Parts: sequence; structure tokens; C-alpha cells
Amino acid sequence: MPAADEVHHLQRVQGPEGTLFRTIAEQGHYGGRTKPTNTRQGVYAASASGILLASVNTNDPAKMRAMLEKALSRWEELPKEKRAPQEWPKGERVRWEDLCPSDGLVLRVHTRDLPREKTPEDWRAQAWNRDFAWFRKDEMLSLLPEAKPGAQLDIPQPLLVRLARLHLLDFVRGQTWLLEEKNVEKAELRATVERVEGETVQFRLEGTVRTSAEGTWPVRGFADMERPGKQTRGYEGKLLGRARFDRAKERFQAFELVAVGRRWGGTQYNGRGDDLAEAPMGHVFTLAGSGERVPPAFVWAYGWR
Amino acid sequence: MTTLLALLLAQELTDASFEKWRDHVLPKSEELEWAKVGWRASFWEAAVEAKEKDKPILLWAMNGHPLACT
Repeated sequence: MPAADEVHHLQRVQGPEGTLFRTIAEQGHYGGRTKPTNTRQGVYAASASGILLASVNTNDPAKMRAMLEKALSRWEELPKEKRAPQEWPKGERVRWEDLCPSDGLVLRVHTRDLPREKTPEDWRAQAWNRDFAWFRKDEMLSLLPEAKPGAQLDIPQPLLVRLARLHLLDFVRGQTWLLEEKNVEKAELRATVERVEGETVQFRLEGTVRTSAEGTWPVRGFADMERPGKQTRGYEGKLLGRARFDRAKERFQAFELVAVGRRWGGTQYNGRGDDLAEAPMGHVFTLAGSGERVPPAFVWAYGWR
Repeated sequence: MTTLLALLLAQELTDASFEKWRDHVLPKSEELEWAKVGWRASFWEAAVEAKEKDKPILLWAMNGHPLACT
């Protein structure tokens, strides 16, 4: 049974899935490790009873294949009575997905570098990443102008600040860190109604964002984490989009918001250690699928409970 | 026009360039092959199903959810 999950959560959460994961992970490739970090990131094959079959942390296809073959071989040797747990570990499950606003707005957020003069010759040239952005029902409804052509609404600042500090970030090549509210220098987004047809409202979105932060932090993974240097990072971009909302069903039928701008700086794990200078970056926000409930990377900073 | 200026103008976001930038950023179908595996979005879902179906679990655990930002 293939599964993908967030390892930081699994390493710390109380309850049955955290207990089961930690039982498996400590038998694996990073079992007992605390330096340079205590991550248990990787790919694990295991029985539901918590017996590790094999594990590895790699993106090398040959090494992954070898791990899978070893795991399959061990699975076939594992007696059936040892494969399933007698009972699951105790406790209640706690997941951020429980807060997914199914009656609100759930967006996919994709990001990728835009064409530039000098492009890396490796995987970074094609790098892209994905996140999600959530809006509760009341927040979703606060995005809507009055339903008449030409009506305008400035999107509420708290939502724009959240967008700027948690989503319009440079995570093209890897995870980054969020920004603070004080780092949001400008966040403007205006909705203008273009057309009203029955219960359907079509509107345009247009705005700008600028963020900036400075301080001392590493930008080269483990290489400079013991001796970080002074850094700046930020983003300045233009937003343009269009959306269509069904007032009767209180659902978006369509939503596309594109952000084109320039980023600078880096963070410890976002792969910019040798690429700190200003360069173009894009983001696209679109409707998520109805079953997509993976939480935003910084859902814990939404302040939701 | 210098190359840099031409590049800057070309990167501008307008109604005319909207679809070009949208399509540039969004992943192409060949970039989504990994998503066809049928990943359960949580380790627990796979554990429960593995027990029911007498199958092993294959867990991809990353800092950042692999089906999202990693």
C-alpha cells in the first residue's frame, strides 16, 4: 500500500500513526541519528505490524529498486501471523487535514522559475513545486465583490498578508521558511466584477506584493548551518487572475491567479545557496481537486484550531 | 534593445501573457508520472489498508508532504 506523508508530523505526533511510524523508522536508515539533523526522511517498506522490510533515502533509481527488491524478498519470508498487528497502538489521530475547509476554498499553488539569462544545467532548470492554500468559508465569501458589473472589492489585508508570507515564497527547488507579518511591505489585490449571469459572478483579480526580510541564517543546507551569514530574501511581483463563483451553491467554478515577479536570497534548504541574486519566479493558484486535503506547508501558521 | 531589457519586458504579466505564464508554471503531464502510483495521502490510511489486504506498506516520508511542498 503506497502512502506519502509528512515526516516531521509523523516523528512528533502522539497517537497510533506516530507510534507506528517511529517504531518502523528507528529500524531504518536513520535510526538513532541526531546529527546533522534528526530527520527520518526516506522511503520505508514495512508490515502493518511495524516490522521494517527495508528503507532508504535516495532519488537514485538503482538504489530505490534495490531497496524495493530487498523489501519484497523480506515480505515473502515474513510469516503471515507476524504481518498484521494484534491491535493498533493506542491514542487518537490528530491531523491537520481535519481542518480542511471543505465548504470553503482549497487551492493548489504551483511555482517554477521563469526564463532567465543563465539557467543551471541540472535538475534545477526544470524544478517546480506544489503547495496548497486554504480559505475557510467566511474567508472565501470575503473575496467576493457585490454581484454587479464593475463592482470592486479590495481583498481583505489579513488574507493577503497570509498569501504573501506563507505562499508567495521561493519553494521552487525545495522547502523554505515562512516570512513574518513585518516582512510584508505591500500586499494589494483588487477584485472587479466583469460579468453576472444568473447566479454566476465572473471577476478579475489584479494586484501587487512585495516582501523583504533580513537577518542571519544558513543558505547552503548543512554546509553553513554552524556558521550562518547575513542574508536578505524577498519577493516582488504582480498578480493577475480570473475567477467564477456560483452564488447559489457558494462554490468557485473556476479560479486562476498567476503571480509573476522577482525573488532574491535563499533559505537553508531551498537550493539557492549559489543562486541568491534577483531572478524571475512564477506562482499559479488553481482550484484543487475535490479529494485533495493535503494541508498547506505552513498550515500551523494560519492560526486555525 | 539589450538582452536584459528584452527579457524583463518579456516576463511582464499582462492579459496577453497570462496564459503563457500560467502554462509555463503548471506541471506538464510528463512531470506528474509519480502521481500515478496511487499514493494514499496519509501513512495511517495505508497501514489500515495493508492490514486488511495482507500487503506491505510503502511509505514515502519527506520533510514537507510529498504530495505537496517538499
